[in-house]
Amino acid sequence: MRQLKICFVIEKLALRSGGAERVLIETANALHDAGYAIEIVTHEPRGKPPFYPLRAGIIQSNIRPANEFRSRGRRVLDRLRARFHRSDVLWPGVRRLKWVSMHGGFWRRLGRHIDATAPDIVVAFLPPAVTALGLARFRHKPRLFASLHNVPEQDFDNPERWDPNPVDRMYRRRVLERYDAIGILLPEFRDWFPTRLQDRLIVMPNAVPPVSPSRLAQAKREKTVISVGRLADVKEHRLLIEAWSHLKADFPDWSCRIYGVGPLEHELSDLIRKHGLEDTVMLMGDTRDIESVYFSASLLAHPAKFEGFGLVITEALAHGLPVLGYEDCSGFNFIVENGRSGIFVPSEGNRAQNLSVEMAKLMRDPERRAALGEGGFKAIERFAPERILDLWKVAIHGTEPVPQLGKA
Amino acid sequence: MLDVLIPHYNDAAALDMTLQSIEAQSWKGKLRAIVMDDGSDKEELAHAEKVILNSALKIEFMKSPENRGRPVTRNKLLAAADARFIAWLDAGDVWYKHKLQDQFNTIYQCVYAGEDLNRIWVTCNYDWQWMGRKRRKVTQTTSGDQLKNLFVGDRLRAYLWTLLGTRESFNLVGGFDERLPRLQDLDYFISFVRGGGRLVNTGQSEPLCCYFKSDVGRNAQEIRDCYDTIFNKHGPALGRYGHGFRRRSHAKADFVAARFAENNKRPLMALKFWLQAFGSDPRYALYRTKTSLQKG
Repeated sequence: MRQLKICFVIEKLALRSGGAERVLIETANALHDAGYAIEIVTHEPRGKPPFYPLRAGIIQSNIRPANEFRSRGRRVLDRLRARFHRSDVLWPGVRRLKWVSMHGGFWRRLGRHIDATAPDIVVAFLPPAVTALGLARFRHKPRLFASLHNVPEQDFDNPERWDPNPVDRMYRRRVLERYDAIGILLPEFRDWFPTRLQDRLIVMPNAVPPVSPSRLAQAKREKTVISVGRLADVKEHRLLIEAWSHLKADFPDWSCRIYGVGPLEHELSDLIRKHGLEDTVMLMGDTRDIESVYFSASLLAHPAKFEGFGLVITEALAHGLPVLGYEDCSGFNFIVENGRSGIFVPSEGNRAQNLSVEMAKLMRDPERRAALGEGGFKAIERFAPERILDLWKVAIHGTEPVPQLGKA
Repeated sequence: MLDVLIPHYNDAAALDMTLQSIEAQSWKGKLRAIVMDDGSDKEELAHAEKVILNSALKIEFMKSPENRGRPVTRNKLLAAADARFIAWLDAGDVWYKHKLQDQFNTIYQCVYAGEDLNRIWVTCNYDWQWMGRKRRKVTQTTSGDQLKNLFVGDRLRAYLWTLLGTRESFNLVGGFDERLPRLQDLDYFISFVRGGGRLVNTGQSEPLCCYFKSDVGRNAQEIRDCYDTIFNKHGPALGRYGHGFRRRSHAKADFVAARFAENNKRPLMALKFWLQAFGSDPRYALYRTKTSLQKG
């Protein structure tokens, strides 16, 4: 019988294909398989299912009331509030009102829901849920765990991430005190946290499901370089496009495919056109069959500025794909060992030029690509799902000492 | 192999009747009954032990030193079961001869249809026997929105002893909520359906078991509180059907509590619940009042 009840909280999950959402669902599935009773609580206007498949037996609860059942007066009020939320008004005094109007419903309803369902452990995923759970009032006393999935400076200090309201930033930091344990992705993120929170930190990398060696041996690699990630500033796809403009003449039979969607789609399309790369560089959008993409490519270029962890990198390594990324990219330099499982591109000087030089070396050298692919396949054994599941059990039960994973 | 899980408390004569109905089943597969006594008085416990010794069934008898309540007992029974299939029966209720046979036939049909057995519970129609009244057949309707029907409680009722399923299906979601001294079946059914489980009926129109129903000695306020716990716990699911549906569900719960109060000779408490129902859903309360006046 399922003894322990775990409640995962994330603000939005419907149709979301992001890395953190995927980790949440894979973790929930793994813990359900391990015999825990799982509920996933969201607070979102859309009543759609998650993008990634959930195991039968996992209960989903969207605690935000559905819009269609709200009264006409309430809907008019909601529209006015939404306009206020979208505005840039952040005057002192008003900013607090705005913050309560935007987020108050989440933590009030979450508190009531926790008392109603009485879970043994509540796990908040990503800062909006971490803040809501930290502020929620409930009489029940579950163990509280905050699961963070990015560089702490980005989650807590960057005014452009999450809610730019200073009140939100203040609470995001303050609520961490309430948690029994805090999960971070990389050991280097420890330094950001104050000393009094240090003993609550658990380094919990993402799990990487293994790929069978026989499937790997059957992979038919094409002369394709891929990049996978949201089309956003932080992923720096523009550097890859610029780098490709230097490679185009020397590698006419190679192509570059960029998978993902995001706000920079038009900008990147314009850049591809500007460099005349329409025939060789393609924006592929989202795919549900990323595995085939990994199996058919020869190289993963990952020019991101920084990574909370870099799920894409580990997945590529698991599929025997050599990876390239900048030496100063957190996550990348934790997972990859230079020359053994991938290549560190120098971050000083012209970054696009540096990327094109290192890519050219690998594109010319199939033996080296194969050796790196083999090395990467072995390197990700430390992220095997059963190992990460053990870390989750530590986070859930609070058992000491906390095992930690080392650098590559 | 099938494990039949039976909680027992202070009613050895009823346990005897229940075990006899299992013995009389036309299904002749490998069967074990697991009886858990929930801290009965010494005398009743001794009587129950005698009943078990005299039974021809293979029985595992578990005892709790103190009365912990039905949800705790059911959780212990579920943890003790290790057969591929599980059925439930409360001491005091009975199965008719072909209950297991018909339900296993339905299981085989599900296998042929390629259904995932670990997401299915097979239920059946049953007789409802009020003390001193005639038996009434109750049909379990499994078509339509099962979650909605469970909340309404008219077309599909949450009674464990109607069920047959795999052990995995009974462990699909969590166990019985130990905060619920009553109605833990309803919460368990709702959680099962919310977790992606589905109920199927045998297709037999005949009742396959009998529930001996009595409200006497049951605390109406406790029952109403249990409804509140369930409505709050499954609030996000209940809310998807709108405010009107939520109000109707609360009013129905008030009427159930009022019935318990009335049958236990607590007219003031019954009036309180009736007024509460009127506050939640006046139209429905008036309709119920009208029908009960018509029935006299």
